[in-house]
Formats: sequence, structure tokens, C-alpha cells
Amino acid sequence: MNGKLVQQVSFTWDPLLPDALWVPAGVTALVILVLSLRASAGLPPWKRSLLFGLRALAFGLITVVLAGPSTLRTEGRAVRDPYVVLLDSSRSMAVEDEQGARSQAVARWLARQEAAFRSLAEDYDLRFFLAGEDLTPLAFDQAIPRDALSASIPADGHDTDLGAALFGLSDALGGARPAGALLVSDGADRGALGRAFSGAGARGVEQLAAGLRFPVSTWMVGEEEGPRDLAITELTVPPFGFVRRPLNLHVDLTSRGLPASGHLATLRANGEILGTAELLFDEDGRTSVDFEVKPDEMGFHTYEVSVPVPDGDAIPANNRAEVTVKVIRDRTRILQVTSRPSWDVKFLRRLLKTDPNIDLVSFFILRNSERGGQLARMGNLSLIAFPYEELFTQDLEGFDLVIFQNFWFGSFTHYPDTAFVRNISDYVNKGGAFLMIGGDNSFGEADYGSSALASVMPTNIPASTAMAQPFRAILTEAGERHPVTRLTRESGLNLGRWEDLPLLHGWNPLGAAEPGGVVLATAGAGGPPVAAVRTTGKGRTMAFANDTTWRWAMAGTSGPGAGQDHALFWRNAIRWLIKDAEEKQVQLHLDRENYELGDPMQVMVRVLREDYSPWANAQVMGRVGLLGGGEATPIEGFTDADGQLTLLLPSQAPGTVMIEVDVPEVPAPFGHAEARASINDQQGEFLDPKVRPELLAALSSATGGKALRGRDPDPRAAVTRAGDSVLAVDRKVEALWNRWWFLVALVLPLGAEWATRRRMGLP
Amino acid sequence: MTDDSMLSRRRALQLLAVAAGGASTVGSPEEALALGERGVGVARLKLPGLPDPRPGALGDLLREVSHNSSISADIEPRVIDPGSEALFEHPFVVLNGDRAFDPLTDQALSNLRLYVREGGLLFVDDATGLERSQFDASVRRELGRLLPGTQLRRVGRDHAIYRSFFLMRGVAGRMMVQPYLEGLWLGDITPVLYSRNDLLGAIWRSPGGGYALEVVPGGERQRIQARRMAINMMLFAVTGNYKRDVVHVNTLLKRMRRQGGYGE
Repeated sequence: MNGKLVQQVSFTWDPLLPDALWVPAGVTALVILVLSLRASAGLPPWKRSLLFGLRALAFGLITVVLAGPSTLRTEGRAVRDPYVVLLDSSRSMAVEDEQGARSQAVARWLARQEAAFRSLAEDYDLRFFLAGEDLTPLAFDQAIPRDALSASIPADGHDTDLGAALFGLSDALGGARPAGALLVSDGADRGALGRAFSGAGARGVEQLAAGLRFPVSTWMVGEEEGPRDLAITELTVPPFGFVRRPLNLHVDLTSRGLPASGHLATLRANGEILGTAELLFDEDGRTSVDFEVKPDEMGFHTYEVSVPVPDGDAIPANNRAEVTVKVIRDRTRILQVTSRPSWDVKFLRRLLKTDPNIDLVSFFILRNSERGGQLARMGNLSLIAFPYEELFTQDLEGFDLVIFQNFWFGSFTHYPDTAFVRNISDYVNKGGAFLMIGGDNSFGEADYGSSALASVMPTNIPASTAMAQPFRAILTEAGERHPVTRLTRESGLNLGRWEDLPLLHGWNPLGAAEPGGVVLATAGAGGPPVAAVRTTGKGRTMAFANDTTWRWAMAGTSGPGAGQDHALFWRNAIRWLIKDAEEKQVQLHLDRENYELGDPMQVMVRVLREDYSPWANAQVMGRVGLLGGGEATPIEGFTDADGQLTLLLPSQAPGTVMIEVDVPEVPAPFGHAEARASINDQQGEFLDPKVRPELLAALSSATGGKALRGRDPDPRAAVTRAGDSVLAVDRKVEALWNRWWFLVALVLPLGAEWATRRRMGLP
Repeated sequence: MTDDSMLSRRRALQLLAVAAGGASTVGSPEEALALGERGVGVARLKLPGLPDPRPGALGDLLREVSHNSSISADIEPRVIDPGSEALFEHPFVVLNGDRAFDPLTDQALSNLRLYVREGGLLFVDDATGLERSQFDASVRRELGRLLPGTQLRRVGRDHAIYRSFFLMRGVAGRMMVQPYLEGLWLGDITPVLYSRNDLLGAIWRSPGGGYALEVVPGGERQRIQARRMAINMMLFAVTGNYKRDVVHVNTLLKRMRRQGGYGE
């Protein structure tokens, strides 16, 4: 801005007519010309042409006058145009090639070319910018390192968007258009330029860069062969997983400059190895593997896939990837088996069968070796074989809940049943749910006390004989508040509701609770357990030692829950057994389960009253922190009129983030909710860090810049346009049409036309 | 753990049977009881002026069920007033008769309406053997009051009643007045079934043990079908539409096609 004063004169137009009048004026002139042509009809052709030509010339000159020919006189100072050196500071610049880190190579080059840059600074307003997530200006002394050997430029940007950086330069320069730019980068662009290059090659880049109004020269840093790298490029999962259903994790990997085999991918969850897969890369250095898992419960499941870091691997950070999947429940699959259909079987089946969220597979043994009736022996039975081997082996894990309702293996098979029973207990320990309901083929009557099932059942199962007396089910202290036995949400009324239930008839004697078992109800006050639950291994079990709860479904017209308590009780039991998300009063939702480092996390907390109406102005307290990663950060707020609180939280560090909230006004355990998400940092910049010389060449070609080559190019060679322009301080417009010579030039054809007409005797 | 001296009743019975020479029968049906109930039973609705034309036939039905299926049956049927709370003690009730009867009381109607909605099954059996009977007229009148907006419809051959235990291709009874059953529906459920063919008359035994009535026109062959139908009725009461489950339907349809019966 310190240039000398200069003056420039240029031609311009300063129209005398408003824009709106040009069209009417043109039409009028055209009409006059046509009329004059018709008026001269009968004259010799040369005379007609002369008259028409003179009038058209006069009209043309009038048009020029109305357009306002003028001179623009500009006075100002001569300035140096900006010239920008744009240094890629994304994380891919930290990749180490044969010559070391790319960012270090840039720093060394800057140091070696200091004199050239100083020379450029004399002719241009030389500017340096770091192109990371934003444009960061650097002063000359900041950009040119003093020590070439130990120098480095930052390489910590989480993304590369060279197009955005280039198109944003004018704004960064205060609106000035640079004379040119020199882009120093590896070309590993992940923005629009990179996508255009991937989609349409150099042509795509050229189309996109055509909008840049200054030349961009480029110098590519990095080896074309790329770094030696074993990388997980993508870990994909479905948007949701389903409990106890196969969930596929697809892993894409690349290997550059490393052996094509001998690598092992490992899948972990909570530190536990779930699977491994040997990797064999193709000629392009690509491969993929699939892992299948079966999440055993609802909620957020985080999986980590890793490959070892071999010697020479330039980017260890991309050897590990993590993903979090929200696992929800599909339709609940229940297996109900019974050795002897009864009213209790009928009513439970009716309840399950009419629930649209349940897929029920029932198997009733309708005839067995105990019965030898004449009609049945005659055949024509509609019975089918009981596929017990399939059900209790390969099909077992497909069910969310297995119900033995008055069921005894010995009633249909003489095969040793120990394997099947052991399968059931294994199924429970691995996350399944098991419910045993009483009857003359159940509990001690079927010797389950001495079977493998005893290890997972809530109570001891003695071998004593069933009792037949009617009794009232009395809740224990635990049963008064347990979700299974909660027939009403109104506190204090549950006990009374149970007292109003119809009597039950008979029970299978159960013993004391096993470790972890909880007795919920007894047969009469102080009597033996009749309902008990237990969480064992990863699964849950329940014992209900009676087979007459159907009476709660047909309670006639009496009682506050007449006819509904059967459904309430068994639905409660099933929800608890399968660890279903109860209709929670406090709900916590994230906008997604996987974030890139730096992405904001949107957290929505919803609080409901007991009647499920929104709870406005409820205090929400919580914390957010990395699993195993030090102190959690507290969060706090109040719900709005819709019972919602929305927070935006930063994702500040990679790993598995756990968010927990508590609403003190909602009694425990319903006032607590938690969610989990993965924050990844290696995804992106290190996914595919190979250099892209074609992209940079296309960029310079499309903008009229140059593609510098070699390890130490002179930055002055990138310049394509002079750097002098004038910064205007005064502008003056002077009309030309009012000059005498211009008026003479206008009057001449008009006068000539008038004189000619007179001589020809025309009006 | 259980040792020999602590064997359960069930296991002890099985060992006894094996010791008896590997007989396939383990204990008698009467020994196999539900816990505190005497087994699955049935009750007859008692209406003023409508005597039971087949006294004892329900007991004969329950014995057939006990002999042929795994169900534990309470072989002593009850007689109950439909207006009483006792109705809800019996998920399967039968209304049979051979003459006209008075309209049900409001209490009885209200009870029965609640009963069928809560899962009870009402089987109506016309014992007259007549195409037009006063009993039939009374039944249609009362069923029209029971579930307003619904009406008796023919029960299709794909209904679970035809396959709940025996695979059947048609209805049966002491007479063949109507070659199909009728029913009332609540959604997928058929809480009321109506036979015009005196089904209980075909299985009714005299005190001496023989059958009390002739079966026409098919004779003993028809009686066997009627006995099967009666057992199916009881099994349907206990298992509902179990036999319509996909796993069962697929297998049964295959067998039906193989046999050339309906279902093709």
C-alpha cells in the first residue's frame, strides 16, 4: 500500500437514458425508418438507398450519444497484489514417507527457499496460510523456519478440504483477489475436490476449479509410492442391531508396501476377544473381512477391530477402529413347551399369541406313551413329531425366552435328556431367559432339582411332592417393589392388589433361594416360595410354582383388576426376563452412535411423569466421560415444557464416551438413563493418505497455474501473473458526447439527409 | 440331588412301568392330576326348563379325552348357573338341549359376554336331530343377544377344530342335520361353536357301558368320527388355535395333500 501515486484513464459508458426507455426508443426509431422508406417509394433505388442510409447513420449516432460515451479517470496508489502460499496442515501431512514426514519436508523446503520467498515478497504482498480445518494466516517469520533440520509445520487438521481453502482465500484476504496461489500439499483431499477426483478424475477437478479466478500453482509433497501402511479403512455396521440376532461387522482394509499375508484382524468388545480373522490382500492391497456377533442385550454395544502394527507401518493410528451399535429388540421370540395342555397353558398362550410384538412358537405334547386309548391307536391323528433335538440344540439361541410350562423331557423321549437340559443352562448363562411354570410335570416332579437346570434356577428344587391346597400368593418385601410383581404403578396399592387376586390352587414345593435368587411371592404368609427370579451369568430365570394363574384372567366381575392381572403379571415377567427396556420415565437419546473427533454430540433427555405426560422443569444432572478415561465432566439442565432437554456436547477425545443422566425427582431406578457412543480420530485423514499428483496437476492446469516438480522447486517459478495493480483513491467520469466534434459528427449526416431530400423535391 | 429313596412320583411311575416289561403306559390317566385342580373339566349350563337330554355324556367325553390324549381331565362335569360367579371357574361350558328355553337373564347374559371375551369357550349342541327345532330358534335368539353385531357363521374346514387332535374332513354327530359347524368370532378367536348334529348323543353311554343311541345314517363308522369330533372339541377348548400355527399348518397340509383330502 505504500506505492507511488498513479493515474489511469479508461473508456466507459454512462448512459443518458434510463434502462426502461431503451426499448421504446428503439421501436420508435425503427418505425420512423420504415415509414421513411415507404415514403420514398417510386424513387430510383440508389436514391432510396442514399436517403435511408443517411437517416440510419443519424439514428446510429444518436444512439451512441444516448449511450453516454465517457472517460474514467482513476487516481490511486500502485499496490502489490497478494500472492498466497497455502500450506496443507492436515494430519495426512504427518505421514512419514521415505524422506520423513511430509510436513517436515515442507518446512525444510521453506527454509531452503527463504531467499526466493523474500524476493517474491518484494513483488507481491506475500501471504502464508495453513490449510487445515480453517485457514490460519502465518507471518513470514512464522512460516519460514530458522532451522531447516529440525523444522516442521503443524499437521494436526482433522480434515483436508483444499477447495474450501482456495475458495475462501479472497475472504481471508479482506476481499482482495490474489495474483496467484502456490498450494503445497500431498493432494490427499477429502472435500469436494477429492470427491470430484474420485468420481470423474482430472476432469471433475477441472470443472470444479474453473470457478477460481486466480491461478493456482501446486507442489506435491510426499512419495508417489506412498507410505508403508496396514490400515483399517472402513468399519461398517447396520444402523441398528437386534438382541440375539446376528449382527455383521464389515471391515475393509488396505496394505501398502507390506506383505500380503500373515496379518490377523481381531474383534473385541469390552476387552474380550470375540473373534479373529486372517487377512489376505489382493494385488491392489485390498481385502475385507466380516465378523458376526450376537448382542445378548439391548443398549449400546461398542466393538473394536484391530490389526497389529507391523515393522515399517507409517501410520499406526489407522490399525484400530471402533464402532458403537445401538441394539434394540426385534419381535420377542418365545418358545413355549408343555407336556400336558391345561387351562393355564391355554391362557398364557392366548396372551402371548395376541401380542403383536411376540413371535410365539408353541409345542404341546398332546399324546404320549402314558395314554393308550383305542381311538388314538386307530390313527388319523393330526399330531406332528416334536422337533426337540433341533429346538434344544441349534434353534435354542434364536429364542429370547424359553418357557417350560409343566414340561418334562421324559414325557416324550427316553433319550438321555441331560444334554438338552445342559443346553438350556448354557443358553441362560450366555444371555437367554428361562421361565419354569409349575404343574405335575414340573420342578421336583420332573427331577429338575438334580439336573443341570438347578444351577441357574432362582431357588433350590426339592424332590418333594406337589401340594394341592388353594392359597393366596403373598408378596415378599422384594416382591412389593419388583417390576415382575408390580400390578399397579401407584405406590402403596400393589400389596392390596395382590390380596384381591383370586386364590391359586396347589404348588410345587420350592426350597430356599439360590445365591442371587430373589423370592417375590410365597404360598400364603410365610409359606414356601411360589414366585422367584434370578439373574445368572448373562441371563435371567424365573420360577413360578403353580399352574392356575389362568384364574386371574377369568376373574369374573369382581376385583379391581378383574381379568387383567393375568396379562399384567405375565407381561411384567416376560419384560423382566428378556431385559426389555421398560417404558422408561427418563430417556436419553443421542443423534447418532459414532462421531468423528470434534463433531458436536447432540444429547436429548426426555423426562416423563408416571402417567407418561411430559415432565416440565425437571432437573437433569449427569456426566459425560470416556470409559476408563479419567474424570467425567458434569452436565446439568432443566427440561422445557415438552419435558425435553437438549444439549450439545463437544467430542474432545477419541474413545468410547459414556453419558449418564439422573433425574432426582424420579425415584430410582427409573430416574437413571445412560447412552454410549464412539468417537473416532483415525477415520478420515489416515484412511487413505496416499498422494494424488493427478489431482494437483488438474488443479493447476484448470486455473492457469503451474505444477512444480522436484524436491526443492523455486517458488518464483510458480508465478504466472504480475503483481502490480492500482488501489483507487479517486475516480472521475467525463462525458464525451457533449464535445463539439462529437456534435458536428452527429449533425453532419442529419444535415446531409435533409439537404438531399430538398434537392430531390421530397418533403 | 435326588437319590433313589427320594424319587419323585413321576420318575417312580416310569421306573415301575419299565420294570413291568417295558409297557408303553406309565400310570393311569386318573393318576395324572394337575397341581391343585382335578384336571381340565367342562361344565353344562343350567337353564330353567331345559333339562340335559344326554346326562352323563360330558363325563363320557372327558374319559375319551383322558384315554387318548395327554390332558388330565376332571371326569366329573359340573352343572352351573350362567348367572353365577362359578361360570368363571370353567373355561369350557356346554349348552345342550332338545327344546325351547326362556331368554337368558341380564345377569347371565352379562356374565357370558364377559366370559367369552376373557377366553371362555361355549359349545352349543342341538340334540333334536331336526332341521328346524325350537332349541335352535332359542339358541339363535340368545346368541344374537350375546355378541351384538356378530352373527353365526359357517366354520371353515381350515379351522383348528378339524385338526386339534384328529385330522378330520367333516363334522359328525348322532345325526347329520347340518354338514358344518357354526360359530361366533371375536377377531381370530371363535368363543362360541354350535353343532346341529347331536354330537354328545353319539358318545353318550348307557349305565351298562354300551352306547345309548343309534347313530344314523353312518352307523359305527359315523360314531367313530363323532367321538373324534368330540375329543377335538375338548382339545380345541384347551389349546385354542394352536394347530393353526405355521409350524403345524405346514406339516399338516403336507400330510393332507398326501392323503388326498381337503387342503388341496
